[in-house]
Parts: sequence; structure tokens; C-alpha cells
Amino acid sequence: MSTKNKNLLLLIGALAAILLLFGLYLKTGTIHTPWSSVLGALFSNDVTNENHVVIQSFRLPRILMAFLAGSALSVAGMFMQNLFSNPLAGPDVLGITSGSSLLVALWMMTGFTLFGAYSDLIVLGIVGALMMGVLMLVLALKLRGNVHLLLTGLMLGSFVSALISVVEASAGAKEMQQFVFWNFGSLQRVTLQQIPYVFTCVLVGILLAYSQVRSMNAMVLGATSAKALGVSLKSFRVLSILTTGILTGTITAFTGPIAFVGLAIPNVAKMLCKTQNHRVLLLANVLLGALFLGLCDFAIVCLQPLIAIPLNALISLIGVPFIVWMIFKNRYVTS
Amino acid sequence: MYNRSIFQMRRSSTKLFFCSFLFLLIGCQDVAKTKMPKAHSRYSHWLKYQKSEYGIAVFILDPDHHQPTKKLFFTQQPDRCKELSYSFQIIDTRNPKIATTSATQVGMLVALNARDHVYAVAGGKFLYDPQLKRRFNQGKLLETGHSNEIPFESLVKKKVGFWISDGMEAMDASRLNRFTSLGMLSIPDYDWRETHPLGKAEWLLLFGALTNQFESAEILFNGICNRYKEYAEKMPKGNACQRILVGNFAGDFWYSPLGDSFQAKLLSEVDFCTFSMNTKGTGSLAADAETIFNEAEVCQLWINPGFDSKKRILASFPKANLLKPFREGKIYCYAHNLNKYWEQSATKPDLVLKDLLQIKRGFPKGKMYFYKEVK
Repeated sequence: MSTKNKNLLLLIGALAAILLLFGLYLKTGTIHTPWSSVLGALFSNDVTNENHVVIQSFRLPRILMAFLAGSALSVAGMFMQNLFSNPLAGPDVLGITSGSSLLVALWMMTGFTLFGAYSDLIVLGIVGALMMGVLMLVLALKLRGNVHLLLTGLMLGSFVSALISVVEASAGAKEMQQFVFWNFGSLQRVTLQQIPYVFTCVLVGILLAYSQVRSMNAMVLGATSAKALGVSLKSFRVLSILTTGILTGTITAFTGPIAFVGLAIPNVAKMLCKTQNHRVLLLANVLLGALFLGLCDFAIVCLQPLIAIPLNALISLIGVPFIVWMIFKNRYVTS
Repeated sequence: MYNRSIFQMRRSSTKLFFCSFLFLLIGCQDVAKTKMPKAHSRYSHWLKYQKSEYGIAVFILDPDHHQPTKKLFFTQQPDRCKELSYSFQIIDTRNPKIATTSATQVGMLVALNARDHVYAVAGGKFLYDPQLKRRFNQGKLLETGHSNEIPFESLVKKKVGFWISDGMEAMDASRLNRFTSLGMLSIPDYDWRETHPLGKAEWLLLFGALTNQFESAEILFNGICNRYKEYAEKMPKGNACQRILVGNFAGDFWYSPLGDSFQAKLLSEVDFCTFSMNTKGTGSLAADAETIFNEAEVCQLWINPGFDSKKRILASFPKANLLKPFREGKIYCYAHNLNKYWEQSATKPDLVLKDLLQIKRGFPKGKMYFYKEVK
């Protein structure tokens, strides 16, 4: 079977797995829900029916958020890794996620309100990510090499995390509590009414990514070759960071920081697809990211009667061994 | 055996008396095998004590192993108690300089009016007591901060002698050795592992012994017990419990007190019960959103959501309006003054109970001390 067909099969398989997971997720939970209620809840909204309320208010927005967050963070990670020609780059590695956290932390500690509590949280999450993105962009235009940019991003990320710690340390107990709760990371905060907004932002990000597929393919050959092939490096960098900012900021605002997805999934996609065609990789990241985070959340729901595992803990438990394995597999260690 | 030989060797009157006390105190057996005969407590599981003419013997038990982890003898006459040093750590209570690591510990020292002995606090922003706050702002108090970043040099400079810990560093031998090498004694405080609010309050006696105010601490503690019982008796017996929601979401899980915790005991005193109160343990039970949604359908009351306004609750958990007590019922919390609650609730469990009684039955009338309705 050709690679093209294999990839097609992989993508169809991932899509089928997502649909299966979607159905299972809606069926599974503490409250027993028959299949008829699951189907009923999807097509009608009976507020007097407990099963409908549970599915529409808890399970449906949560699994949709898991899919959207997984896709968005994976695509953002793919962009970062392509831009910096480094498989260990990702939105959380480069401080984009920290940018969101910083503004949210400042907002919670100061108690300043602009549009209303929850709207502020969302707007600031996105603005924070974009701010870091713009800062990275300015640096990207000044710095010559991608390695320098990656290193600067790493340092900025640490710097912003340190700033958050300082803000936390100087905040009042009440304000700190709210930030700590947000910082735990959770897929269940989002409501069904907010899902269209998240979906729109993620769709915009993915379409922007799709518009850069040709440039990303060229970037695989290196910046010089890409330039020779007619890629405008400046506009590519601008769009990369803008896209990453939109995708990461939106997700971070709604869920709190989620680690490792943006780092691990793009590498998994590359390994499974065995291609450098970013049209295929983009689709693979969208589907595999959604599947991965959906599965993680499904595992949390299934394990809940035995053990309560926070989302970020489970992702890290899976993500860290994977990254270490990847480093060894790619022989990034000396003999 | 060793105790016996000492007893036989020394016969001076004072020492004879003291050793007689020791004989009684430790049962004249191998100290390692002794399980605190005579030492007692009223409610505490992890703190036992025994008064004597020369001081106070205190035993701190490790809640995980149910064995004494510290055997301390608090005295103002350490020179006269040398014989005890083979089985007790002799603590000189003349002007102790104490580093605290929790608001509860600060509250206990404040309750004993022993502020002058406080040399370090966990964080200035967690202080409620105005006098200590002033001292902190004047730079007279150290901030111990995160337990992984203990300011050893500053503590030594201030000649701090006692580090009251949460007991977690018992696992970290190197840290304990460092305390010892710097001449500091780390005393574990397991008040947070107690199952009864009065057991938690009884740790006042440790601070009383440490600051040479054991009698005052006893009087204070007895007063707390009497008032607590008085309020508990105001509750008619034999009524079915009222299901309520307690806690809030942190991440994907809702944390509610387990059945053996002192919080659960306080709630049960006023016939409140939660879904988590039939479970064993002193910590919290993690429950998912669906469990809480289901539970909320039978509740009209939500206690301790952790925030002082519905707006803040919604900011933290936007689906809170799906919970019946949020929409139709009442919510009460102490979050409008978190520091006050954290600092004082351990030494004023009677007032916590009074507030809960007021929430439950509407009396005693008047302003609640810790709680406020969340609107």
C-alpha cells in the first residue's frame, strides 16, 4: 500500500475513532444514560429531563472542548516545530501559554473588570497569548537563526512564569485562590453556548494554518531554500505566530494551561504519516490531537471512581515518557 | 531497664521525686516500647500530654504510624531535668522564638497572647491579626514562604529555636538534620489530621507548653469545649440530616470533606450531611461534575464554595447556575475574610459551630462570626 493510501486510511481511522469516542463519551458517566437519551439530547433540549441536562451541560461541551483543544494545540505545535525546525518546540515551550496565564493572573490579582468576569478571562487569555506571540515575532524579525529564536522563546517562557510567581506571591489570598483554581486546567468550565465561539476561533486558526501549507512544506528544506522557492519568510513568521497565538490563547482562556499536547502530537503525526506534506500533517494533527485529548479525558471519566487524576497530570504522565522516548529514538543523545 | 538503673543510682531528694515521676510517666519500661501511659488528651488523637511539677511532657504521634514521633519535655528548669533527656527532648521554655508555617499556628499563638514569641510566619498576606500584621509590615517578622525554600540563614540570624511544621518533613531526613545542626527544633503539628474540631483546638496546649502558658491554654481550651458543647446541645437530637453541598471545583473535580474529618464532624453537629460523609478518612473526596449535579438536586444549601460572591463562583465554575442551591437555595461562606477564618477557626470551633447553627436554624440571632451569605 502506498504512503498516500496508508495516510488516507490513518485519517479515516482517526475520524472513525473520534466518532466512536464521541458516542461512548456521551454515554459514559456517573449518571446512567441510555442510548435513547443520548440521541434524544443531541436533537432536542428538554430541560426537565435530567439525562438531557447532563449530556448538554456537562458531557457534550466537555468532549467537544477536548476535541477542539487537542486539535488547536496540536496545530499550534506543528506550526512552532516547522517554524523553528525543531521537534521539541511547542506553544507551551515558547511561552505562548505563559503569556495567557500572565494576563489572567494579573486580572485576577487586581480585580480589574472590563467586560464582565468571564468575558475578561477569555479576552485576556487570547490577548496574553498574542502579546507573547507578537514579542516572539519582533524577536523573530531581529534574530537570524531559528535556534536563537527557540532559545529566546524558552527564556521568555521562563521569565513570564517567574513573573506569574511574583504576581502570585504578592497577591491577596482570595485572588490567589481564584487563579490557582483556573491554573489547574479543566475541560469542564466551558459551556455549550461558548463552544461556537471556541469553534470559530479554532477554525480561523486552522484555516490560517491551511493557507500556509505551501510555505510549511518549503520550510522543511530550511529557511534559505524556502526563500529560494519564493516563500516570504517575514510574512510566514507573522502568520505562524498569529495563528499560534489565536489557537493557544483561545484554548488557554477556556481551559487553563494544558501542557504537552502541542509538543507530542505533531511528532506522533509525523511518525505515523511518514510524510513532510503539511496538508496531510495538518489534517493528521487536527484529528490525532482531538483523539488524544478526547481519550485522555475519557480515561479520566472512566478512572474517576477509582482515582481522581487531573487532566494535566494524566497528559504529563503520557507525554513525558513519550518525549524521552522520542529523544532517544531520534538519537539526540551521544553514544 | 536503663531507667531502673538510674533510679537506683541517684537518691537525692529532688532527683528521686523527679525520677519517681518519670517512673510513673513512662511506666518504668523500655522507653522505645512505651506507649504513653498516663499521658492523655481530651479530643486529640495525635497530641498527648502530662503535667508535672517541673514541666509538661508532650507526645506527638505520627498519624500514619500511630507511634510517637516526638517526646518533648517543656520546662523552665532544663538543668534540673537532665535525667529525662534519655527519653525526652528537653525544651527550655524561657523566651522561645518560634517560626510558624500555617495560619492555624499563628492563630493559636495569638489566642494565647504569645505574639512576642512569633518570629516567622508563612506569609504576610495570610495574616489576620492586626498586631502581627503591623510587625510584619515593619519588617520584624520573617516570611517562611514555601516549605521547600526555608530561609535557614535568616532563621539562625533571628535565633529562632523552634520550627513548627505540618509534619510533612518527617520524610525528609536531610532537612531535619539541617534544623538540628543549626540548633533548631522542628516540631510537627498534626492539628490538620484531627477528626474532631476540639481535637484540633487541643493543639493549643502544645503552644501553651512551648510558651510556658500551659495553664492559660488549658483554661482557654476548657472554655472552648464548654461553649462548643453548649452550642451542640442547642441542636435537637434525632432529626434526619439535611443534605447540603460543601466545597467547590478545583480543576475537573469537586472536593468535599471525608467522614472522619473535623469539618465533617462540625457539619454533623448541626445535622448537615454531604455525599462524602459516609466515607472514611480525614481528607477530601474528589467527585466529578455529574455526581455534584445529581447531588445538588436534593440540596437547598451550599457551604464553603470558596468565594465571597456568586459572580466569583461563576467565574471559577461557569456551570454553577446548574446547581439547585445556586439558583434557588442559599450559599454561605467565610471567603469574605479568608485570613480571619484560617487564623481563628481552629481556636474558635465554638464560633464556627455557632455560625452553622445559625445557618441551619436561624439562631442564635445576630451577626455570624465567620460566615456570610454569598450573594
